[in-house]
Amino acid sequence: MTRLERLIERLVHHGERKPSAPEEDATPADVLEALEWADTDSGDELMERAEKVAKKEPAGV
Amino acid sequence: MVARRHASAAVIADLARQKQEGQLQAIESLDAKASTLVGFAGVVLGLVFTSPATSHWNDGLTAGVSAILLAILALGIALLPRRYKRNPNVLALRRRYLDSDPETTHLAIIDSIQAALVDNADTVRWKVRALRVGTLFAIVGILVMSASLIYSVTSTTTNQPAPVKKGGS
Repeated sequence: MTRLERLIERLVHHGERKPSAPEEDATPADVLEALEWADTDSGDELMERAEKVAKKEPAGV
Repeated sequence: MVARRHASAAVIADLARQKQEGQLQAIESLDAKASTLVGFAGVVLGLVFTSPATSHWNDGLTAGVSAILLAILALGIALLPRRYKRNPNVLALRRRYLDSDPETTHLAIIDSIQAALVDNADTVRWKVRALRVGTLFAIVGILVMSASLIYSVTSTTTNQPAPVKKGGS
């Protein structure tokens, strides 16, 4: 949230409303990082990121 | 009846994808504008140095050419290749969410695209600024050069001595 947004929130809600808390189910930062895909990334980088968040693969996959 | 956890996740993910496509198209469009302007500025500079304008060189022309060079610099900055995010990483998505319920996967897609949109927006903002500055300098440069050329040519014409009549009594 930028300074301006914080200021507007304070002005509009007179401080009654707290800044919105991060959503409970929001994707964690490390997963978000792993989900990054840029056009300049190499295949190795993409694979490496995918490995970071890999869950145990089901048998036969 | 139990409500689904993220009932609108699919709708939002779809909208996020559309927004992302729009943003990436906007980036390409800005790049195309910047390249066109660079080409145009280059042609103008080429014309100036290969035309008879060089024989009427003055401070105005110097200022105009400098402005166009600055325009090319700003447009070059706008054209610099940058790292644009095109989230999500399909490999990571497959690794982590293959067996998840669709809502969870959609939520991850939304979060990932959202991060990309915010990140790319900062880059686009820089690009737009550089493009604006470049365009402004190009316009100013062309105007100053044109005005100084016209002034230079007209003042040379009016200052020329009147032709001497031959064979007068």
